[in-house]
Amino acid sequence: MRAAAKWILRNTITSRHHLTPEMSLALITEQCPLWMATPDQCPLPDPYWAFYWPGGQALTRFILDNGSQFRDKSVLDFGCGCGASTIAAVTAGARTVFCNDIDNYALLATALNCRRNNVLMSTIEFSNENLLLSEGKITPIPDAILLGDMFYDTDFAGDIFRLLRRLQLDKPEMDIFVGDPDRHPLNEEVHRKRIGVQFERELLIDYPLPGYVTREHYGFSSAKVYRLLFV
Amino acid sequence: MRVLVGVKRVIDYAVKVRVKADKTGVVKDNVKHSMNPFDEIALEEAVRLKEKKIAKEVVAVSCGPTASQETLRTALAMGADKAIHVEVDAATAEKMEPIHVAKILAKLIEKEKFDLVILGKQAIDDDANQTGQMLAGFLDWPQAMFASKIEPDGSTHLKVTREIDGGLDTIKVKLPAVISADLRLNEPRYATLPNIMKAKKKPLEKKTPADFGVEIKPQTETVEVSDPPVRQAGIMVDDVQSLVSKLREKGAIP
Ligand SMILES: C[S@@+](CC[C@H](N)C(=O)[O-])C[C@H]1O[C@@H](n2cnc3c(N)ncnc32)[C@H](O)[C@@H]1O
Repeated sequence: MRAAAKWILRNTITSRHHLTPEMSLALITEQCPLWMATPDQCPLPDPYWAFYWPGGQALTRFILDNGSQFRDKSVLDFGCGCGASTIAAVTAGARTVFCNDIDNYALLATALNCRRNNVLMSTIEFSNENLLLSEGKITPIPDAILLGDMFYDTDFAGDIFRLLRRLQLDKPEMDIFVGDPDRHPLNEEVHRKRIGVQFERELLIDYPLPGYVTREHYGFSSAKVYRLLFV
Repeated sequence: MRVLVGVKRVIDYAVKVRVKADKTGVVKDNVKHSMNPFDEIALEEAVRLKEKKIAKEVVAVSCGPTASQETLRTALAMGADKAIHVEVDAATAEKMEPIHVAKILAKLIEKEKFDLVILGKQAIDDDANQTGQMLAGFLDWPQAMFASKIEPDGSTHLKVTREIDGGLDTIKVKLPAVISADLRLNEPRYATLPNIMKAKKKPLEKKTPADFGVEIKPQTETVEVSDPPVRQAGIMVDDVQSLVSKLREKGAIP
């Protein structure tokens, strides 16, 4: 892990070029040689944590702008990646933040980013458990779940929806916040039908993405934050 | 607007192609393949139309053997939203002709509504330059071949500039239409790490020619594939004097 931490610090740059410039994050950006690399040239496999995905940017912006909704709450950041939403939830005064990602390097990157932003980690509980496999045994069920850009694959989205539905059935007042730039599983009728899990989504806000984010992600020009309700 | 882009897996343009000993074709095993360069240009144009909000969705399609999926992943990493692989076995792929691809695409377009098709002007392996033209014919859509510039003209038409011998030809086509991309249309982007990662998760649908009711029956037969004639070696001359006398000897100058 020490070697991995060193690798992260050596191969990323600190960036404030995103929707939450009050946060500086270690990222692989256009300025890094790895930006033009292929995944197999990267010793840490599929470094999702090295990018600040459009959906995560919008969700994190929303948390920072609506901090009171997270104060004293227990919050689960599902698929934390670089950890921006976790940092925002801690900053907003959440009681506990369960920071979850199946990739240990994402947890490491999140810890490094906490330190860089002087965010205390005493309220964060890190876990690499795959919650999709734990059959809903998430205890205690948090007050809010954060999902930044997690709906990029139809089958995977289906698994997450089924987990969310189960959790909300057990705890109806649980809030589900989603940040998403209009990826197919959440937005296209054919994919939603294939998944077959009914839910309603309430649009909370739509953030225009900065030009360079649009360019990096080939065409997404805005990212939205939704509250999901499974009925 | 939904845009369909055809992408073909071909031997990489930088590879020195070798003819098989029995002259039935070229050596393809263990040879680097990549997306046909003109198709890269076609795809780039479609993605730019999407970035300009003119297109809503870009779908890449490839007809070919299993390995064509690599080419489709590249297309997804370059910005296509989804991919369709019309799979044929390696032997059938060898026999497949532009007319078969055009028929498959025509059926696909009938099934799923598209407003624009962009193809490369030709594939660099067979240099056939037929698919776009035949597709437009099958669909009875207008065609604009060898485009070097594409601009919207209202919401129903496109203005397409074509490079022709000694000048430019600008035409207006009504949508839906078929366009083929020429070299100077744009400079395709390189796929970046985050986009390659994302591309692995984008939808890739698998089909067969039979799904479109198309039978791969060749209309032509390859008689022989041979190397280009070897150029004869030149000679070195010592100075201008001997150059002039050599040229005179050969009757090149009086
Ligand atoms: C596209 S990234 C989003 C990261 C971050 N939320 C953001 O918006 O920048 C997806 C993340 O989900 C993680 N992930 C994938 N499957 C997971 C699972 N079953 N449980 C938790 N995290 C998972 C990946 O490791 C990756 O960090």
